[in-house]
Amino acid sequence: MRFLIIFFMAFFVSHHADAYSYSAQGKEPLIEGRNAIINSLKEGNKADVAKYFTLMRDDVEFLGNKYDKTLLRDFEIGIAAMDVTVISTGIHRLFAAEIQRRLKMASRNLDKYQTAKVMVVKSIRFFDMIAPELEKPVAHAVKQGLNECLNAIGKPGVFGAGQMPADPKAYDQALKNVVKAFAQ
Amino acid sequence: MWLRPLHNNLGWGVAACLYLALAFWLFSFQPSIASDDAFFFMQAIERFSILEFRPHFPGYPGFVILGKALHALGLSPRDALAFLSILSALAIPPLTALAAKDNKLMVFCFALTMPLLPLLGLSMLSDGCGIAFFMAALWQYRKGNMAICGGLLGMVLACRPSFFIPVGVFILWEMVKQKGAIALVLSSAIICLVFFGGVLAIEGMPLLWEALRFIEGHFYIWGNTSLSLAQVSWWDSFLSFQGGMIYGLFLAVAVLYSLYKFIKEEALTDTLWAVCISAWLWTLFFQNPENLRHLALPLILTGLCALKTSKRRSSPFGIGAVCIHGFILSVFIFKPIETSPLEQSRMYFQNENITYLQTNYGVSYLQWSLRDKHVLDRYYAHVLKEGSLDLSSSLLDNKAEMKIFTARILGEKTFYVYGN
Repeated sequence: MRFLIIFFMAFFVSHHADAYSYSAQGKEPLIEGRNAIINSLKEGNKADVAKYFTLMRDDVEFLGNKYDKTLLRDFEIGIAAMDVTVISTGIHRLFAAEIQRRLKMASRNLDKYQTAKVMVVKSIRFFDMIAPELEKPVAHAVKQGLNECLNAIGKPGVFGAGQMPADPKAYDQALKNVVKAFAQ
Repeated sequence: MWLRPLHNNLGWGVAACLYLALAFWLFSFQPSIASDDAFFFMQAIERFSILEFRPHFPGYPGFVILGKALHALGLSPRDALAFLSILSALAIPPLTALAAKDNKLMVFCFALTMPLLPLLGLSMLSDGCGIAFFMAALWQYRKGNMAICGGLLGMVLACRPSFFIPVGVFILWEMVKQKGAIALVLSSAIICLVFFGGVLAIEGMPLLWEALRFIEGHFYIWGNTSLSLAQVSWWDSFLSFQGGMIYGLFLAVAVLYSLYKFIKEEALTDTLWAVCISAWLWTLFFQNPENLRHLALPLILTGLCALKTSKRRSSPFGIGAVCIHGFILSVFIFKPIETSPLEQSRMYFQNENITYLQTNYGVSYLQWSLRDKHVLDRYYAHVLKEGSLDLSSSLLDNKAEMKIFTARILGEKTFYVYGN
């Protein structure tokens, strides 16, 4: 009965509503970590910035070792100084590394369309997160490269019609274009 | 006696004129994207991919294929979508009248004046198409063509999968009543299999993960359903427009009264009533009250149900409803606004000398169309730059709005621009 009352109260009780958005991208530690750090930065709360950075430090170290050797050092300098620009750039570099990692995984799975597609699409979602904060020429060039990646993984077709095989050469070139664009 | 046919013909003549006026009015608007959902459909007409939000889950394959068919005839994706949306809305009044056994003129007028019909026509979304197929299915059901009815119910789901509760109740009810209803079940299952099998063939297993993410998101995060923590209530939605409170109370009384009379006088086995009640419950508890268009299906079904009783009893409901509809619509009919608030904002920002813009409406569309601006999604935290602007659907007390983009029709949101 109590459940029913609560259920029916839902018509009449209203709270502040979130706007209609599909932005909740599922649980992604890097995206949540980024949001927590930026929120704490805006509040000027140094302890929280450091706390949230510690939570993702392993990821920063791992991705930095693979794709961006000075990332961890720069990040730590930025956080020690509470430098908004350095921290923002650090986050962009971290996301760029994560995008590269996913795109490389896709290139190893070009024979499995679904896996490759999930990897590329996830990379695009990571990119969409930081894209509005990047310089416009960089953002356009990366987006172009990501679209080329998407085209290069081919198409499964519907029940055999419109099928297109993956093109590993075009994919490698597109991946290089993405890396080059981020390095601009 | 001789007055009756004349009376009836005059009624149909007036209704036909109003219908033509509505068609003319809807086609006089410029095709313009009104929401991100419409933008995703427009992109889906070019290339279908649920994982890339072209369109979002569950894919609406029937609607997209109809859009692609119009695109193949030479219309641009935007025009194809606008045309499909308006044609669907215009199909609803005649199909609803055909679905009614008696009182066809009153049912036609009820559907024609329904204040959400212009929204179904201009939103470029799948609601109108789904409702039109639903009405066509009810028409064939009334005529006893169960196989065709089942096929049309399959099309309802292919165009508007979120109608699965009323469609499911329809099919189950008939299965119990007819002890099987094989033709109905088989034909709807075949159509669903073709469409959703096709979608699964394109997307593969990742579709199921996206389905889980999306369904969870709908119920708990962005859907504002009775299960989510942050929510607006349907009552608020009724209060948000002129005549809304009277309309809400009128509908509640009409539904309860005719249901009471119906239960008292006839057996409680009527499929249409079951479908209507399920549509109300599903909409009120599990659809987003921020989007009035979700009310369109239960409203139309209510009109059909309440007007199917004897003329003596249903006329006050029909006339009352049409009068309230006219009162609600009167605010919108004479507004000389040609494009959607989202399109108006795009045009404004295009010409404004700003670099940063923050919004949570039409984020994807604005990012896509304003290529030289930085369009930030307000869902996420951002370090804001000096001079950035905010696009919002709320009228804030503590800030003066710099610009207002007015809604064209009932159910659209007015947008406000604020400085930071």
